[in-house]
Amino acid sequence: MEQIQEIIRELKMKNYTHFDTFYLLTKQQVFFTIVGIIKDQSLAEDLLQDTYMRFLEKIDQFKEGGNPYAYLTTIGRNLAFNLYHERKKVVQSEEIFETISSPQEPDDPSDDILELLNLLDLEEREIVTMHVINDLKFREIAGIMKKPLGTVLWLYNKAMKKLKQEVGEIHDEQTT
Amino acid sequence: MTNKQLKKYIKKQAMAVEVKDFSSRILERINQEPHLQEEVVITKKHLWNLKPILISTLALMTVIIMIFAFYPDPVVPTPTEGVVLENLETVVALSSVQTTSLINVLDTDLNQTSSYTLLRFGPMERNDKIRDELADLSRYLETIEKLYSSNTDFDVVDEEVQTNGYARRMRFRTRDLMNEEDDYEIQYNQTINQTTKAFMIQGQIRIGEREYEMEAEGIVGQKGLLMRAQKDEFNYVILNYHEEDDRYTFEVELIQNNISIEKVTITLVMEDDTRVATLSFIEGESTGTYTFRILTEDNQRIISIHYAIDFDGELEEGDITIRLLQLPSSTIYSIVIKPEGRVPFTITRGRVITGRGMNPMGMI
Repeated sequence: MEQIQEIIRELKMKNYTHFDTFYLLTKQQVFFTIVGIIKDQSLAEDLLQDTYMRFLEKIDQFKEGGNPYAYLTTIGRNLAFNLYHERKKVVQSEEIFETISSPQEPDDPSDDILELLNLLDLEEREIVTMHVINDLKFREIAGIMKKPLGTVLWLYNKAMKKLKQEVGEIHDEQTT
Repeated sequence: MTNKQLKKYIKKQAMAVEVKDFSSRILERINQEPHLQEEVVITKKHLWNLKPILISTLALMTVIIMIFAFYPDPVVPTPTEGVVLENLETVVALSSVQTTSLINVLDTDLNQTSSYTLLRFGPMERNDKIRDELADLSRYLETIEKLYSSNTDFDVVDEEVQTNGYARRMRFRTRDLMNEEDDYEIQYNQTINQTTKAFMIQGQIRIGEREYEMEAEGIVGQKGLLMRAQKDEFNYVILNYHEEDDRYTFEVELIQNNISIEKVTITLVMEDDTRVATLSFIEGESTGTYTFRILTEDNQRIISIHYAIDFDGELEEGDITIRLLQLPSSTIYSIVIKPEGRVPFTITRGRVITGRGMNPMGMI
């Protein structure tokens, strides 16, 4: 995290020398935030770039010592939801999620993380992504989603139960 | 598979997904945006612009003040004879139960509330925090008891009267887990803005020998209510009710000495014909979420709770069973806590029912 904070100090000075490192350290979290909402790889990649552009434009508003993942997540999420509302028809196609490439075995649904997350409702998926993949605290997630902490915990709990059942079943089948 | 293993698994899988490297493309875009380039030209500060801005701001403020000072409100709320609380009677009843039970403890119990600040949680620290949370949770057990034991409509009777300067009276009855009854009475006046249909009620809630001032507001026909019940002007409870998709939500805030000390939400949903209440601490020291059910054990009703508490990012779940324990002079709660994967432990807490005198609230 210290490395990221150091790069952000440089970016605030409009020094982009280590931007590629910053991107490398954060792209996964931003991508999952976006793709979890709009479920379209190509659009997610566009928004991924827009998120970083917006981040750089608003970098002066990022407070020293703040959580950059939370900041990037908020920007990515807002952009994704803007598009989500514009293109509801696109989102309705659940198949799109399956087009995203994954290095894992395609025959095993539990090994395709995107397919696995697709078992969840949008809010559940967002919370799991933000907490498990983006390492955000539940209080940070509650703030980003503008939901009570209890609701976030409750949805997370529900989501993990669903995922546990799915992953457990598949692993049980593999072991028998 | 434990939660921890599942989290590790998801994280590993997510990190393995190939996300393209667009850093060069983003840098190209940065280069095309002049405002993202290092500034070398110092722009002249146009300080002279401040004067017209100041003048126009002052002018605007003056106009706004004039409007508020001299333009009369075209629609004045008026007393009304209709029943503005129609379809909200049970909500008002349940809200009154909640607010009065909380006011009741505002000056008696809060010195024993949670005060946890540890960031690292070993098993013992977790148990201590759960104990602290249960001190906070116990404030809401009267509501839970009455919610599950009373008739669904609380036997509400709302009628016109002329008593103590109030034009209406609502009476309702609750029962607790021991089937003991409490009668509540709300005397109130109501006004309604005929244009906006916004109503306001103002009156007193009486339970036993206790009386609390209350006021509430909402919009006729809408499924929402904002209620405030107070012990005095510095110590009060605010309750905000709304209904959406058959989900009934009460946001409750406790104010002690004019400072907000705790905020919770209580949601009610029907699951398989069973009423399920979930309480979540939103602000304050406690952080957990508690889902309540009432079960019967040896012909006695017990409160069964599933809890989830965030221990600095680690979610712990478990079950809590609350039984009523009758002692010669009082009834207390016997609470068994069973954290998942850890050793169960037991505590007891005093039981307070509003309007029936005070039992010790502290842990025994």
